[in-house]
Amino acid sequence: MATIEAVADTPAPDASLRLTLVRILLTPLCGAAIVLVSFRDFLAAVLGDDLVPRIQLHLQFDSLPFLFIFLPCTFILYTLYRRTAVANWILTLAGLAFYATAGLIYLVPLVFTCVFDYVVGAYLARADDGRRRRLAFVASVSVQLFLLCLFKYAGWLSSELAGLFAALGIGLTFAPLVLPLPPGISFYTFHTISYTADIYQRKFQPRGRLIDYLTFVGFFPQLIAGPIARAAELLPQIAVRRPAVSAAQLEEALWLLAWGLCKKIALADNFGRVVDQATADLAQPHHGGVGYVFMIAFAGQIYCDFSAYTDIARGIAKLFGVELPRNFLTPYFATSPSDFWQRWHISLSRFVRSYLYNPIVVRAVRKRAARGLPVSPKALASPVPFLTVFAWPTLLTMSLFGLWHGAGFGFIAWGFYHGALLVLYRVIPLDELLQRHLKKGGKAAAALVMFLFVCIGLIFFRAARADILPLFASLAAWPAFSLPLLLLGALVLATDLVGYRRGVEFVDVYPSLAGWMRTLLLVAAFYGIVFFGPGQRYEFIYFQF
Amino acid sequence: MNKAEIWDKATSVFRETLDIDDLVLMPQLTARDVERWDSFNHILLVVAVEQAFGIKFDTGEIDGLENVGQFMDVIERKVSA
Repeated sequence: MATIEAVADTPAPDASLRLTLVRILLTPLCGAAIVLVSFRDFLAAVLGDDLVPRIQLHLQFDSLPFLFIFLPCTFILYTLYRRTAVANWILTLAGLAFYATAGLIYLVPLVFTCVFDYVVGAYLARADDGRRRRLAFVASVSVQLFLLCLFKYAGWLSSELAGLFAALGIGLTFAPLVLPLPPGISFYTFHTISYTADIYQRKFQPRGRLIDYLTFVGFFPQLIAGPIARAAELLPQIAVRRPAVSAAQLEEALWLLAWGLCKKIALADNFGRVVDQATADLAQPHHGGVGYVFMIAFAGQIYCDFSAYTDIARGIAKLFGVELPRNFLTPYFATSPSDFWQRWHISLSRFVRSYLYNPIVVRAVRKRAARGLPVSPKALASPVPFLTVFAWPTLLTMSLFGLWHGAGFGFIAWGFYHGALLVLYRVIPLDELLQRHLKKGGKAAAALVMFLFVCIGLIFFRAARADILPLFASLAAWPAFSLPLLLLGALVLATDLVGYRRGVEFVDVYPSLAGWMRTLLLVAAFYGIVFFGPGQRYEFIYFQF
Repeated sequence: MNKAEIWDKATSVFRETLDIDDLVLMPQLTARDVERWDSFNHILLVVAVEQAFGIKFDTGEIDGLENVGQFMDVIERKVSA
């Protein structure tokens, strides 16, 4: 439960005067700089293009306006007002300005979602009547999911239906619905759902301050692509006056930023180039084995890209005294699908498990128990209970999990495929069999098999519909060779192996290293960012979700 | 039912559900430490414990259990309530 913890670091009178002077000097400067980079295009339209410097931020962490203007200015303002109630206002306004860089119009659904769930949350906290609470909770989740579906899936569904009607020769014609997709809607909708769900389940009691809640949802490090933090975890951190960031925390935050940027620019974007090359090669007459390059390179790209985003988000949050949850744990060392989902996009898997999978399965198992039927794994291994209690909820949850990523059959197929893998491993635990028969190399073999399964799934996730069959067909040939893929893959394998041995991600090994090693890593990350970018930039993959 | 009896009974439920005869429960033991303790078997464990002790877990409690210690705390609290 959130409580105010006053931090005993009130400044001495002299320091207080200095602080006031610094505030008077820096507040307008930093404020103006944030407004300039966030609303440059708008200002240019009003004041004239020549009068306003050409530095417009576009949601991107890996951009100069963000790294050298927006972030330092927000950090300075936050530090100047950290001890006051203005601190969270600064973070909220910065978050809204950051979000508005995608387009002012997108603020409308974001602010509506926030205020709506805030009001529902206040009611849920106050009310005692179980039936009314349930009704309010279901209504709020329905509204949130309706908005999500409207923006994210209505256009896709209407164009698929129009295509289907045309193919079947049905004379019903209509123009597909075209709605702009608010960036990060899938993430912030889940944040607000977790807020009402945690209050509904009495895991958390809101303190009633709207500004803390707005800071939680609009916290710009996690606004666009997570990690999806639970309200019960994050709001208590936000609702207090946070202590000053120590030198060690500052260093760790800088490392998270530097390593995240290096991983994004030097690894993910280079993997992306290999994926593009493989896609181009697919159009050539002799493209046998190119599917291997495509899927392995994309496995590298999506992991480096998304984990880089998370590292940067965690680093930025740390600057403001907030700890975001971890999202990855050396996922390609997973030995089974269930192990994989505890290592990949951990915050989303946890969300889906808590709010969708668990309620469905608990209900089914309890129903069985209430009828006096056994609920041991052995009893549930026979076909009918296996299908109704395990396979069906798993396939449904994973298909919806896939659909969450985007409007398209590829995402649903990817989710369903992972559901099918979970079912397959429940029937035939390949990881256990390999470890039992191979003894020494069993674990490595199980990880390799699981990695290949994950890669195959990524074909559905990434490839255009027309490329899926040719990619699968090309897997029948011996794998094609790609030197860039080999070098990039070796780098990821080496760093992840260091993390895996210590039970963490590579990025989290840093604080335990000696001073000279930390310096070396920071320098290496810097060189990686400056010299190893491919020149061609790719947007963070998860921004589209 | 005292604490030792609750632990003994819970241990046999865990052993039977996870099908591991020599499983020893310790407060700091987590699902990650036990290969068969995945999210599905976790629910089977919860329902088996509910049946054995005649208690019921709240939805929010089920995924909030980070280790055996927290699991046992909920059981002890509900049994003594």
